Amino acid sequence: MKKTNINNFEEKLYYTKLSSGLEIYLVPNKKSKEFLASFTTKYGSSNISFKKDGKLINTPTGIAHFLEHKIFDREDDPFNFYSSIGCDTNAFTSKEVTSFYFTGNSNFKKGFKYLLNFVTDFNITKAKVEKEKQIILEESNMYKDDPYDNLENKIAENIFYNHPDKYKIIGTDEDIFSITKEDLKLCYDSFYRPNNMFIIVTGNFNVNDAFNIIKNLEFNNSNTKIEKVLIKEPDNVVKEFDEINMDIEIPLISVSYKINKNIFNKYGIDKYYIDDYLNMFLTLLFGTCSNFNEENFKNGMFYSISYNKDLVGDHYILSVKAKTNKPIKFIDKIEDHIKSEEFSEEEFERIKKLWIASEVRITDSIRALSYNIMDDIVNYDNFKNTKISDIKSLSYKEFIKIINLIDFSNVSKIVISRKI
Amino acid sequence: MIYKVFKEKSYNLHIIKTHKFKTLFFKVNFIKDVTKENISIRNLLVDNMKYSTKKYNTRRKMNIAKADLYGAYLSSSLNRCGNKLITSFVLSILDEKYTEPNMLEKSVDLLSEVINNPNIDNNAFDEEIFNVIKKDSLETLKTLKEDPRSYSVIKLREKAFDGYPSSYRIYGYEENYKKIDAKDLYNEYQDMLKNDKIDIYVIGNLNIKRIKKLIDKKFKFNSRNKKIDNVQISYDDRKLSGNIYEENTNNKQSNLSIALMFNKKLTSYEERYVMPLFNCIFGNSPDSKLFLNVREKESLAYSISSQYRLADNFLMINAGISYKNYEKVKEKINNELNNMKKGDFDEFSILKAKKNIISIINEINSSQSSFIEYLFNINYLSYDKVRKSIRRLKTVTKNDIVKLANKIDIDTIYLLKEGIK
Repeated sequence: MKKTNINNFEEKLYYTKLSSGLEIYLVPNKKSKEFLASFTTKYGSSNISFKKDGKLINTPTGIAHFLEHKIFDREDDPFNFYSSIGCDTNAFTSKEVTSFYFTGNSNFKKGFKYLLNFVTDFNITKAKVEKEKQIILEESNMYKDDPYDNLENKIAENIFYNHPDKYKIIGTDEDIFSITKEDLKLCYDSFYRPNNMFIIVTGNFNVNDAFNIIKNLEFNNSNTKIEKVLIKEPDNVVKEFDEINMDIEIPLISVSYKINKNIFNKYGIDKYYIDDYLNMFLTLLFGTCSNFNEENFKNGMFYSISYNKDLVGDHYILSVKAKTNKPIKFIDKIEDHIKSEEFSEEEFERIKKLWIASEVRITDSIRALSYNIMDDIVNYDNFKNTKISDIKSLSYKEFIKIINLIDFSNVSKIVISRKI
Repeated sequence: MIYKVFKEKSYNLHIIKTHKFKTLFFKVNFIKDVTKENISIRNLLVDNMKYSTKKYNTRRKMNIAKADLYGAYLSSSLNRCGNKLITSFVLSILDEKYTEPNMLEKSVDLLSEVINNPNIDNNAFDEEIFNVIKKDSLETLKTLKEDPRSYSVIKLREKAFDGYPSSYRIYGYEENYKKIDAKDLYNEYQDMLKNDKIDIYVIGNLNIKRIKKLIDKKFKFNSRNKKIDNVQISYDDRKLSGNIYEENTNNKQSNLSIALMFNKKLTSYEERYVMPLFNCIFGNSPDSKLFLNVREKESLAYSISSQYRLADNFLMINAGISYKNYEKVKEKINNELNNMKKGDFDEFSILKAKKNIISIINEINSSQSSFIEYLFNINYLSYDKVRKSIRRLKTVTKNDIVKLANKIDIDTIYLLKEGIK
């Protein structure tokens, strides 16, 4: 195992990649009483099309999430097992991954062995597919009542023509209904493979214990070749403006820009730093230290505001969302502001300070650290262990050059409000 | 871990030295008896105080001040615990070894500024900011319906516990907000500083003497009677209601909330040791009776769980369901409760529940805020310390649980009904 520093902290990362392709990230911390172990596959709701041994496969939406549920459906119920050893377990599905985890403060070895086993020992013949459809449809209904969830889904739907991120994680109702045992088996076999999976353990555990248990794990070593399918996604958005009727008191809006990532190649700056500069851009524009936020909150223009940046395929999506009683007016304000604002070096350096502070705090939480590692794996294929000095090296001049490249011509706006 | 408490004339100062965290955490609690009316004014107070101070008189200036302190986290909140209303101020900062010398003093200065030097002029809070926040609070009330689960619980409590603090919603009430002005708020501020019971907690890798000196210097309040009792709500005069309520919505899913009451008073042992086990077996874990038999086996609900808070003194069940299954779900829940009363659960489930609760007890010092909550529970809700708790929990028998189950009855049902498809 390779031992790496994490910034200049006491905690160290132990990393290795087995010959099977399985990657392991371990960060022990004796100061914590708890541990958190996750076992993740790079198979998420957006992996609906792929090539298996050269043949193109298209699957219905919602399988990754469905599979997540079914993996728990075993005679030796994982919930039962973990509570019998005083631990907790759960899982989640995102657009890029499905992750199973357990956490507790005792019985690490027992629990870890069990985790690796139940995720890799999936038996499709025992799974009850029909019954699960009901439960998942109910879950889907629950989300339909959530205005924020609806907004997120609409944003994706109105931005992407082809990229599978346009579909919600849980899948469409029709697709959920149509899922068969064969679909589940196919996707399980294709994506729950060592060279597509990784393990992260943080907190109070013994590195050698963990490694010895992992070493003995053997699963799915067939020679199937799985390849990604390259999606061609145009630069323009599907719908520039949309109005959705929902029974909410204060309207919800979003303004999203679709930006081809290649425009940022001009100066040869690494994607890792481009990500930071774009985050910085949004933070300076709409964050709590911005004038925009202050003025508009004071004059009642918005009730709450949030922003985020995402890289989906070849495009960066910069989104601003808000709850506002003046939806159209506020959308205009946001658009004006994002295109015209200027930034000082002082405020740039201030945000850097905030980010550095945040990096220190992350290692105090075994959960935050675990997710931080997972995000890096999904975004950069490895853990970035020098984030504090990386942040320090961000340059104001470079920042200005990068944001001046941004092309704002592809924008998609949404208003969700109650129609009388 | 070293814990020292200093009982000053105006507050109790709890200092906890631990090397577990890279941050230093401060919490200042102001505690008073809750009334339906004072919730709204305390909400406004909490929001006005964290928004700006005399020195940092805009939200942006406050945020910049915090950012310059290496991302100091400083906030305030309002919570109700049983009969008590708790106004809290929290400061979290990085250890000086990750920042620079004197950050500790500067950060505590900021906390002191928020509490002791609010944005006041002519015996009133800043009018412009006050109005923005008041409007904001009223807007929040309008959005409560948008979270069906949370709203269904609010309505259940309103109907089931009319007249008791367990019916009060922490977001406040429109009729109260409308009557409050910036001068009233100033009077409330003075009242809080003068009369509330105060607890100050500091936890982290600290020097006890240095912290005590700093707190003594920055926080001077008049002396007062610090006794806090009667936190738990009792329903002595309340009769079992058996009421069922339905409310129509346009939602795609229905939400069901049920209040269960105790037909006989619980002993202190039952409240702290038997009830958590009952709750775990009955509805508060993924292998509980409710989860397994209502959700997993019958697919009658996507979500179902039970909750018990000692201070509020009742058991609550909440479920996300389809209306078509409503009668069946009620029937199933009734069956499961009766099964518990009959003792239809095995020793293994008791063992698992004990393991579960012991695990939770052991996680008390996994975060600074959970440790502070533990201290609160010991001081004001007569909880035992960790080792004693674990020891006593292990002594609970199946008989204890059955006896307790027979003290529980379904009292009030609230259904937030889905819209016509």
